[in-house]
Amino acid sequence: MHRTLFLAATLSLAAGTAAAEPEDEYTRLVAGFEQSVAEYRGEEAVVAPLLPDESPFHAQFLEAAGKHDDDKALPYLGWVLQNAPRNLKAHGAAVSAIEAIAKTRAEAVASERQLYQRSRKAVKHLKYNRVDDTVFAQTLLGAVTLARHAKSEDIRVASERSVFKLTRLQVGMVAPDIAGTDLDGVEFKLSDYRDKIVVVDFWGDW
Amino acid sequence: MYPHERSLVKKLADKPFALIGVNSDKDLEKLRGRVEAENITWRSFWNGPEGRGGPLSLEWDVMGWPTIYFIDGKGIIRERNKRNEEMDQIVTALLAEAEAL
Repeated sequence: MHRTLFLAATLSLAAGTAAAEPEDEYTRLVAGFEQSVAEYRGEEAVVAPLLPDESPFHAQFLEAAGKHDDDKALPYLGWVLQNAPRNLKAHGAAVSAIEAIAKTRAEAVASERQLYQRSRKAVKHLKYNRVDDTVFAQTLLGAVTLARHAKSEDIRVASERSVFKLTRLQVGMVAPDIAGTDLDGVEFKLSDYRDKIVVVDFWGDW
Repeated sequence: MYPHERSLVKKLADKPFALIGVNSDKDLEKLRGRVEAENITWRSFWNGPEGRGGPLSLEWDVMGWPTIYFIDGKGIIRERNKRNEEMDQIVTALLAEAEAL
């Protein structure tokens, strides 16, 4: 996950004795977090353990994001989006910050069809677990911008689906319920299977 | 895909585990025949006559088939899009985690 960044942090610390450059705040915060949750991240774990809902890190990253009102906030917001899946306050604050940046992007959607295609490709790329924090935040920002500002209703609606996926369907989040009918026409809900391990498989016989 | 999932469902029949499909075939009658022929024992939602454009896959913004989510006993998404042996390993790990609670 953050191993590359963590390594980079370690390396920069090692070199830090010679170069007196100020340490990058994002790298510093990530390194602090990684150290504190080392116990959660056994390399051998098949499924990543759940991170704690509450930690001082959520506030630290949000505070750092709050010092910027542009793209410089994205790494911090991406961290919160990916590390606070059930901390509704922190996650909601990060989404609001993305919404605020998107507000300033109205004119950026002039070539919205092209932007939309790029946005959907980026969303599709996030089909596995964690990615780079900046990439995640950029992808959400792109989708929110199109969902709010695109002239085409189709693009707005489809981009809203991207937003839903990125803010509600990520690892660590409580799955939204599914209600429908089975192949015999009997109504049921995904939540009927609460307390069981459930594999939801979107499939087709083609 | 069916033989693997069939054997997983069979192997875990007495465990707190369920494989829930969301099927996006347009022709329900034909699908029922296939379910019988392939001995698909697990339950599926049907995504309706619009197939891949149906409401359930749209709501979850499914962009490719199959799309797979692993959900623990508290309803929390724990993994996505892992198949075959990896699917078995993840389910086994989540069952072990639940038993340890």
